[in-house]
Formats: sequence, C-alpha cells, structure tokens
Amino acid sequence: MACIKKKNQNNITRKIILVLLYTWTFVPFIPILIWSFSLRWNYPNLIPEFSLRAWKYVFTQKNIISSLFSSILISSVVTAISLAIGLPAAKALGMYKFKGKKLISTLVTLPAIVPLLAVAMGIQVVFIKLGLSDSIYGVVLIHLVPVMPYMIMNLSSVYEAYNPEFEQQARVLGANAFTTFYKITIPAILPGIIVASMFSFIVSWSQYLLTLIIGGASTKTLPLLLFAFLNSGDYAIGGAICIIFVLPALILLFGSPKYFAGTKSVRGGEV
Amino acid sequence: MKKRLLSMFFAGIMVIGLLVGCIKDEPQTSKGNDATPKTNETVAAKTVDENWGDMTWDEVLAEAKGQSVNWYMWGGSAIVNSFVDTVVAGKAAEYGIKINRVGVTAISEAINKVMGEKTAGKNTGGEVDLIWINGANFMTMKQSDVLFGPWSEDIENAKLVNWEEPTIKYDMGFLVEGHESPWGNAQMQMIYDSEHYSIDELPQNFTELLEWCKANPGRFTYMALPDFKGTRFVKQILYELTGGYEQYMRDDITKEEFAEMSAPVWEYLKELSPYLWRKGKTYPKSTSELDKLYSNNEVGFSMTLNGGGISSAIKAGIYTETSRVYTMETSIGDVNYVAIPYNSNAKAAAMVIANILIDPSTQAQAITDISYRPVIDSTRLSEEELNEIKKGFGKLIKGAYVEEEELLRNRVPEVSGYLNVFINELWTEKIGSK
Amino acid sequence: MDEKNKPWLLLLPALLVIVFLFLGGILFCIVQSLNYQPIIGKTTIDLEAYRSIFTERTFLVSLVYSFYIAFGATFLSIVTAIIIAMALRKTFIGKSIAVFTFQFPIPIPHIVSGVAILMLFTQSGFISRIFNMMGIAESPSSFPELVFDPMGVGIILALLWKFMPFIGVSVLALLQTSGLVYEEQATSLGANSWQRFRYVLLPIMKPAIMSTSILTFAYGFGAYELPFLLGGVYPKTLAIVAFERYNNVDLTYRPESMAMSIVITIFVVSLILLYRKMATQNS
Repeated sequence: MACIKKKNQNNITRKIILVLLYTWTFVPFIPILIWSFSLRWNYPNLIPEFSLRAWKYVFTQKNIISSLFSSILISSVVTAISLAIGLPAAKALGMYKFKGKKLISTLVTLPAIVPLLAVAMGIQVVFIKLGLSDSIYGVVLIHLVPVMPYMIMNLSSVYEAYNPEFEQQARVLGANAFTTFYKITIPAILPGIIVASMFSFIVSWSQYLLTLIIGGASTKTLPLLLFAFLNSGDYAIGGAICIIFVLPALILLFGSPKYFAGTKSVRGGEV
Repeated sequence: MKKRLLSMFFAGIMVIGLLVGCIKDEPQTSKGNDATPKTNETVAAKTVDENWGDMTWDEVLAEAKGQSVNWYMWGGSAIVNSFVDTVVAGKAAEYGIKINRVGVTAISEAINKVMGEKTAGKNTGGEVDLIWINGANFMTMKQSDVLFGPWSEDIENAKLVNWEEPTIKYDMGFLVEGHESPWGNAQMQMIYDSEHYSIDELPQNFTELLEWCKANPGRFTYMALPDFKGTRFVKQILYELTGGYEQYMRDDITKEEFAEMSAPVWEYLKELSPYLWRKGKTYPKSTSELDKLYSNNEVGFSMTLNGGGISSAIKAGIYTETSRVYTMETSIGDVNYVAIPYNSNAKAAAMVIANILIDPSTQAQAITDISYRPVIDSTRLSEEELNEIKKGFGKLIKGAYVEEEELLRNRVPEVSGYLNVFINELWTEKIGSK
Repeated sequence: MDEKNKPWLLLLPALLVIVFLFLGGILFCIVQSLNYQPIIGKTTIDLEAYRSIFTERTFLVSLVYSFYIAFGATFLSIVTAIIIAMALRKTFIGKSIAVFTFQFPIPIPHIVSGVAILMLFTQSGFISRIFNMMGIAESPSSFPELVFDPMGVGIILALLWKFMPFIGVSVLALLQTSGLVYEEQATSLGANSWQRFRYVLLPIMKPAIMSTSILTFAYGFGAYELPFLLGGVYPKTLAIVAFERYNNVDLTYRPESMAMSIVITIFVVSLILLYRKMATQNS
C-alpha cells in the first residue's frame, strides 16, 4: 500500500513540476507575440489596441531588411569558416593523443567561457589601424572568437565517438584520401556537423556587444536593431523583430529533435 | 594523409572564397564618394574641398549630385527616423543625393568615430558625413578641429534664418560661427494626461512641484542623469532656485565653485526624492522608460523637448490620446543642429541636406510629421510660405502643443554647456548612487 | 609527414585564431589598461588605471554586484535544474515532450529572455495586469519591484530561464544513465529516497553541475545585454560600467575601462583554473 501511495505522490509532484515547467518555458513568448500586434497596450489592459503597424514596418523598412540580411550573411560566413578551421582541430583533439593536448584543449575552449569584452575593446585599436573596424570583415573576425571554440567542442565529441577503422578499411580497399573523406568520413560525422553548425550559427546570430564594439554604427545586425527599438520603448516593433530573431533557434529545435534530445551533443558555451 | 589534409583545406578555402565573394558584392554602407559626379561642364568641376568660398550654390548642387551621405543621428525615435527616411530622403533624391541614415544610441559614438579617424590620420573619406548635434558635443568637436566650416551661413536657405538670434547664434553658450546649421526648435515641456488631471491643479514651477509631490507621493519622477533630458531638467531647477541663468554665462566656473553655487539644487532634490516614484531609490534610465511609466499611469508626468509638442507621438501610440503639454515657468529652449565633419567626402551633399532641412516646406511638414517647431524666421518668409507653416500647426492636436506666446514667455537659454558635466557628476555623487 | 606533427598541423588554423584574435585582443587590452597612450606622447606604463578603479566606490560596488548576480542566478538554476531533472528521470507518458520543453530555452538567444522578462515582470507588465484583473494588485505600485531594482531580480530571472535548462539537461543525461543503475542498486540495498538522493545521485550529478555552472557563472559575471535591459540605475554590473567608460568622449577614461575588462577576464580565468584543479583533485 505504502508503495502505491508513494508512487501517486510522486506522480502528483511530477505533474505539478511539469505544469510549472511548461508555463515557465512558454509563457514568455505570449506577451512578445501580443506586443507585435499592438498599437497601444497600457496598464491595466490585457488586450492591446490592435494594429499591424509593427509587422508592416518590419516587412517594408529598408533598414530592417538589411539588418536581417547582414545577420544571415555574417553568421553564415562565420559558421563556414569555423567549420573549415574547426574540423581539423576537432579531429586532432578527438582522435589523437599528444603532448600538451590538455593545455591546447583548455586554450581552445577558453574563448567560449571567458567574457569577451576585453578582447573586443583591446583589439579594436588594431582593427581601426587595419581598416577592419566598422566593417563586415571585422565583425566576421570577432565573431570567430566565441564561435570557433564552440564548433570545436561540439565536433570533438563527434570525433571521439568516431571509429577510424572505417577509414582504414576504405584505404585498404584502395580509396584515396579525398574519396575516403567524402564517402566514409563525412556521412559518418555529418549529423554531428549539422548540429554543431546550427549551434555555431546561433552563437554568432545572438552576438550583441561584440558586433556593437567592432562593427560601430554601420554594421547593424538584428540584435543591435532589436536593442535600439527596445531602448526607445517601441515594444511593438521590438516584439516583431524578436519573433524573427528567434526563428533560427526554432528551426534548430524543431528541425533536429533527434540530435538534440538530452545527449552529449549539447556541450559547453553560452548561446 | 597529406592529401586528405590538403583536400580538406581546399574545400574550406573554396567555401570561404565563394562567400567572401558574396560579401564583396553586398552593398556596404557607402562612404562619401570618391567618384567624381557627372556634370555637363567641360571645365574641371569645382569641389567644396578645394574651392569652398568661391562656389555658387549651383556649383555645390552640381557636385552634390550622385553623392551619398552617412547621416549619424540619435536613432531612438521611430517617428523622426521615418521622417528622415521618407520625407527628407525623398527631397534629397530630387537632387540626386542618397541619404544613409545611421541611428546611434548616443551621439558620442559618432563623435568618437571622427576623433578616432583624426587620430589615425584619416583626413579624407571619413565615415560620418552629417551629424545631428548640439551643445557640449558641438563644442568638443569644434575645439578639436574636427568640423568643417564655416559653411552654414552661406547655403541658399541660410537667408531665412536669423543668425543673430541668441538661441541660434550660441549653441548652449558656444559660438556657432557657421559650423553647424539649425533644423528644429526645442523646448522642454511637461506631459500629463488630461483624463487624470486638469491643468489648474498642476505645478507651474519647481517650488510648486515639491508641494505637489508631497501631496501625491510616487506620482512623479525624472530621468536619471546623465540622460540629456534629465540634465536639462535639473538645470532648470538650478536657474529657478539660484536666481536665474545670467550668472552662469561665464566660461571659468570650476567644479568646486559650481558645487557651491548649485548647493540649493541638491538640497531640493534630496528633499524631493522620498516623494518620487519608488521613493527616489531608482530613476528611469531613459526617456522611453519614463514614457512607459507615464503611459501605464505609474507616474503622472513625462517630458518632451519637441518644439511642436506630442501630436505625432500620440498618433504613433506612444502617449494616450488625452495627453497634453505645458511648460513650467522656467523652461529651457534651444535648437537642434546638423554639422559636417572635416574629413567627409560628401560635404556638398551634406550641405544640400542641411539646406533641405530649413526649406519652408520641409519645416512645415516637420510640424505635422514629427511635431517639430520651425527655426526659420517668420518675418523672412513669403505669404505663401507662412501659410504652409500655419497649416502645419493647424493639423496638430489642440493642447498637444504649446502656443508660441507661452513658449516664449517661459523660455530660457541653455548657457554654458560645459557645466552639464558637473551637473551630471554632482547628481551621480549626491543623488544617483545612494 | 610524421604522425607526431599531424595533430599540430590540424590545429594550426584554430591556434592562429586563438593566438591572434583572442590572446592578442586581451594583450592589447592589458597594454591599454597600463596607461600606454602613444597618441598623447605617453610611452610609459603604470598601474594608475587599476589604482583608480580599485579606490572607486562605483567600481567596487559593481564588482560585488556582478558577483551577486552571477552567483544568485547560478545557485537558483542549480537548485531548480536538480528538481526538474529528478522529476523527469524516470519514464512516463509524455516524457519526450517534457524533455523537449526542458531543453527548449537552450538555443534561444539571451536577449529574447530579457525581452520576455521586461514585458512580463515590470510593475505594469503582463503578470501585474493579471494580478490586477484578479483583484490582487490594484495599481502598478502594489506589484513588487522586480525589474529596474537594486536587487536585480529581473536580471536573475532572465538568466535563470536560460541557465536552468543548460545545467538541467546535463544533469538529466547523467541521471538517466549511471544514475538509474546505481539508484536501483541502492534501493535493493535498502536505502530510502533521501539517502539515495544524497549519497548516490547527488555525487553522480556533481560533475555535470560543476562544469555547467562554471560556464553560467562566467556568463553571468560578465553579462552586459541582460543587465542593461533589465537593470536599474545603480548599481550596474561591471561590463556595463566598463563599456560606459569606454564610450566616454573624454579619452582619459579609456585605460580605466580597459582595466575593468581585464579584471573581469582575470576573475573568470582564475575561476576556471580553480575548477580544473578541483576536478583533477577529485578524480
């Protein structure tokens, strides 16, 4: 009897916790959504004065569209470069044993943990001299700093789980390096690459302070625009931009549940 | 093994190369052009950089054609942003000029940029072509020799401006001397909701404000300094409590001396603070925070500097429809200007834009679109132009703007802008960090 | 090409980025914080900026405040993460949706969390209006001050929304694997639920908690966006004070802003080294 009673208690506790969890996780999106459809929404109204002003503004204004484009471009390029640099690095860390590996491993993951304010403020002088400041190139470079370690950490675990014998077998059977890479390695690690890339994309996509410092006023990514509107109190347009801003994350969440669900693919670093 | 490495790198580089190629094609914010504008003249066209002082306005227009202007301005007002992006840009396009409006959170970002360029020796092709500026910021730039000028008294519509008028001749106490051109008239007004209060019960000066706050605790607050409006609010209190602004029209007041002169202000604010919103333990960080508090009726007042009141803001949903404005008996008024950095490559186009801003039809439209108040002298306008301006005012909501007579009666100038730094520091020491 | 050098070659591009951008950036920041300003002709270095900030009340208060925010958010996140992970570890109907919800906030940008808190928890926010409708709070001022307040509650809540699933998912992963195994053993040995939790599960969770909370603490300590959106006038977090000073038109404040950033960096790096030491000691 006591067993069953305990189980019911647990069930009820769990149910309560679940309800709280669902509420806590999803309720935040409700006012954001409502605000995006508002003209005026003052206390104590639970329903706003409805208007499509914000959405009209977002879909027609040049500066919003170009911000969206900048963000997509920058994040894509940063992800691509990080992948190109990160793949070999992750392989080295995931499949080899060598002296100093621990140190390198720490070094490589450091930029994902340490707040990068000092890095941006420090390197800005150099960027100005090199003409990289206030340009999309500078922003891409500075985004590499937090994104690359993130990419490497994600890819390392992929490589750690990877069995090199498949490659060896392929070589024995006569395949050259390129073919081996394409036909054996990539399919095996592709899911890991996709997840790592999506995460890296989001890390770059979410950057605010770094872009603000290096990009100056002429490289406006979506988070900078969002901040500007929030600061000026326009929650309607802010809300609309926010919703667009969450889309990549939603794509990741709903697009790859397989790779996501509570496994080690989620590693280190703050998005 | 080697081959695999190489092929990986090749693949990576190819990807990067493709994407970099995409970046190169992406329209970057174009700086003021180095491209020579097309002209019909066979003679070498005059440029502002070389021939300023010797050019006719038509020659300026000719050079300006095809140029692109990076206009750095405070980006916190969606209404003003729209006005620039549509109305002003539309007029500029008629002259073949493209405006690239760059909204910043604080204009110091733009100033830092120009100063940084000067330090790095970048004397042409500067990133900033036109900048919305005034006061101490203007002084900093002018004294650091990073402004182009004099030019503003020589553009075509300059004849419509009364350059001798003190609020135009001096920008917060600094001589303008043709280094910036005005475009809007500003004065501090209090915003209240006529649905909650009638004008008769509202404080008309700061002594009355203190009494009002004691009777209505938690219903008033002001922006934390060093927000621009907050500083101005405190400066008005300074004038009222210490006997006027004239005594501050010197340029040699030290912080110590100012601390003594302003002592009554800090006492006043300390006495006031327990009756403020959140008992004065914190203050809204910005205009928009205060506006939000006001719109949600957490406090009874907000403030605006817009010379033409709040009609546009009401239409945009920022304030309730029953919101109205009035001025305190001490109300600082001044002028918004635009200036041109010394290293801009689009000085001609920048001047044309400044010219557009003080064109009577633009000034009239600014009244209705962004609740601005004209800076041009009404005595220098034609009958037709005057009518346009009158019509502009006619489109405003009654009570949502202050009549000129009241504005002038209560208007005092903002003198000695350098004192604002002291005001900010003293406020932070005595009030803000408690 | 010999095998010994292979890993180094593979690592080369990554190391270049780290050395030139990351370490280089920090180095230049240190140099500027040491008051080296060749622009005005000063080619000597000194610790003036550091001396100045460490004797300044605003800086010291911000230092403590940043620590408090980071610690508060991390601690609460650990507690709630454990509670929820414990509740989710067994199989039940609807578990996959529950786990999906649990990890939902992880890829969502921090700023979104901040926007949500801003719209929900201000005194005239959504929650307050619901209270008003229910008759609990009759005006905005009756609702507690959770945002723009000196206790930084809003900031902590926003960080909590992001940190909790981050810690929780790692913890859950362990509970579902080694946790279940040892738990069964402990039960068969007669341990009650509290004993099972305290002596079996908690130690198993520890590595996951440690590694993730270092990250959350580091982020919270150096946070800018969320404190900027949700914070009050005073006190401000370190990153905000440093950045404000960096933007000051008066360039004499630059070295101080650099010094503050270096303080943040050193603090976090020390924390990481400390953790590494503890981790190797434990294993």
